[in-house]
Amino acid sequence: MFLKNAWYCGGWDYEVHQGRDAIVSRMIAGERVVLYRKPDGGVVALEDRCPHRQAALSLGRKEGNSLRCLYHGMKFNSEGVCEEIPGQTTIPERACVRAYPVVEKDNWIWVWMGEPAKADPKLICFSVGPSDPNWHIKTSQMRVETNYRWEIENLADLSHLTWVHPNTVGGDRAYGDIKPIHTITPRGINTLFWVRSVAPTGSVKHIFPEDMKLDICFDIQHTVPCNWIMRFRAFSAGTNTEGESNGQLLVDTWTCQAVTPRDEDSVDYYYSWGASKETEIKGLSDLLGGALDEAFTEDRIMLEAQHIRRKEKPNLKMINISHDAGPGKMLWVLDKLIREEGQAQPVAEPA
Amino acid sequence: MTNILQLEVSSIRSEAKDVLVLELRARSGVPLPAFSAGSHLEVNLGNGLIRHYSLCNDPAERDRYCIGVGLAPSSRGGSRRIHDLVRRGDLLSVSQPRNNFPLVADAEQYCFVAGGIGITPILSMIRWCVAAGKRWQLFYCVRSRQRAAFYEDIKALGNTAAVHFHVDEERAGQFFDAESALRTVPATAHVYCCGPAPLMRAVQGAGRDRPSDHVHFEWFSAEPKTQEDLQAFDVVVRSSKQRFRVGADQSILGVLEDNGILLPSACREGLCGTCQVTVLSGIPDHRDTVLSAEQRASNQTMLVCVSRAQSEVLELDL
Repeated sequence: MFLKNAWYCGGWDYEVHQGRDAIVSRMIAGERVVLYRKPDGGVVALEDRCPHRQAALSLGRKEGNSLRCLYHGMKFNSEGVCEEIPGQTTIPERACVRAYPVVEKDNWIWVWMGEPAKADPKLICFSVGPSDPNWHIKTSQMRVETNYRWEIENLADLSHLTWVHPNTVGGDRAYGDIKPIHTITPRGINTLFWVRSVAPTGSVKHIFPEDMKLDICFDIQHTVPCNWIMRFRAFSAGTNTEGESNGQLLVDTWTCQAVTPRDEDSVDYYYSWGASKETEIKGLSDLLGGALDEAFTEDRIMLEAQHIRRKEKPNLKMINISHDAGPGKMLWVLDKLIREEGQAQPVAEPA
Repeated sequence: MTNILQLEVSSIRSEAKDVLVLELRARSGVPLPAFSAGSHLEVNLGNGLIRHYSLCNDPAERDRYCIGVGLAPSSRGGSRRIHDLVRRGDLLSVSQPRNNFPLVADAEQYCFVAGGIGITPILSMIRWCVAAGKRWQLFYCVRSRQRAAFYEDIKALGNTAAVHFHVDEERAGQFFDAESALRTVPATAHVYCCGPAPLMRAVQGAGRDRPSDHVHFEWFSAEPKTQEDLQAFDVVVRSSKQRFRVGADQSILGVLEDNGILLPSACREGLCGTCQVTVLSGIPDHRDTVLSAEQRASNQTMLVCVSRAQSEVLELDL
């Protein structure tokens, strides 16, 4: 089940470049989408399906602003309107493909999967992209064979850092004992918590003195469908047990993550991490970016094995634990928006 | 006092939904005072809380006492405290076993009627019957199979002719029909019943023609409370000043939703904390597994899916 009226991340901007072969096929919320860039730089998002015989337009050819299907040569402009059918002079009105509203922001390409009239760019989530001059953001991506709701559960409950990521981005028992505050927002939740006086995680341990302890602040904006933006700051451990750390700020970072459901069984995960100019040490942001690749591989193994099991017993009554407040709230918001969208849909007249 | 025993909680087992079985042993390993089927222990839970729990293990065992503790839906102390706070290795102060529900040793036949956690004394009675080679049958009433404590033990002890399960949920919520059940029980049998008050009253009614010394009830237990014990109260929504009645059979969450106030919720069983809200006034009656003892005591926060009110009115920060 997908929310239609939402901006879905279609990936990093640099993948959709001016190269003649840069015709990118995506699956977004159950729909095939082809992305390409016009000569003026604008990105086009069309349904990746020729209306003639459902050929993949992503196997086609860019011609100026248009895309030609390389099965029978039909050509479509950036609005999805057919401009040419080789061998005939009239073009049927229905010979068009769906064009999706598309916006580039913070180096991400955002595609609106719902009613075009409702595509408000202000609904695109805040993020910090690799072209932001104040930050050293390193980007990456991964395909995971899971349902995006399990990714929401994963990201809305970081207690798993203790158990899934002992050698990369977690490990200290403190993560498993967190009591975050989750605040509901119109399209998601904000989550804030600190862990204090924890050992540096596996990925960064080697750059700190052996007995180093850190205070870490996790400040997260999670929005539908599953965009997850975190300001992550690490301080030398201070004495404060509440509120801002009184240790020294060592590293100030953003990690921006967009989990785009492809279908019910897979997601494309676009993510980044990097430090502020003020706190960057040469090479640190590359370390952080690489750490996420490792950590998300750990998550991928867990989530894929979990997905197999949840498909085996889809109706199993599972137990909830107190860490499920975050996932519970985020999924509640998502389901509420999906429900409202369903209620707003005009009911089809019986044929 | 010499009749107080300090026993170690040597194991805690989740036996069924909301039912824990605590095994108690003497640290020194000395044999425990013997008990007879139907006996109970008085457990001192501190802060003046003393609760009675029936022993459910075989009366022949001298190395341990086993008690079954059902989480009473409206518990404000005893069973809640055991479910939340008692851990393996803890020491508990308990009385020597006492028996207000003794089994007549020379009956020809025994008929047991247990409702919910009322199975605990009955179970030790059945174990005694099995050991003594006595004829017995059991009517065991539970709301759902998940809540049927000792389901496996009972099936192992008796054949299907002897054991009759009545699962409310599987009978469209219909309660056990005590009249029809007792009609099949010979007049010479001794009937033993332990369970919620409505069940015991039904068995009392159905057994009115039997000799009064052939029908036995365990009345002391206040633990197996039913929905009947739940009280209605009011909730007030701070932002809109709306006031709603939460009936005995309703939840705060459900009433708010019915009135168009949609709160985040997920499990709706008091397990996850998604529906946690701030309490501005009034005293919550906590029934969740999420909040810490400090949070409960603060009266400032609650899970509205299962928790209720001790006060007449609760004002919520919504």
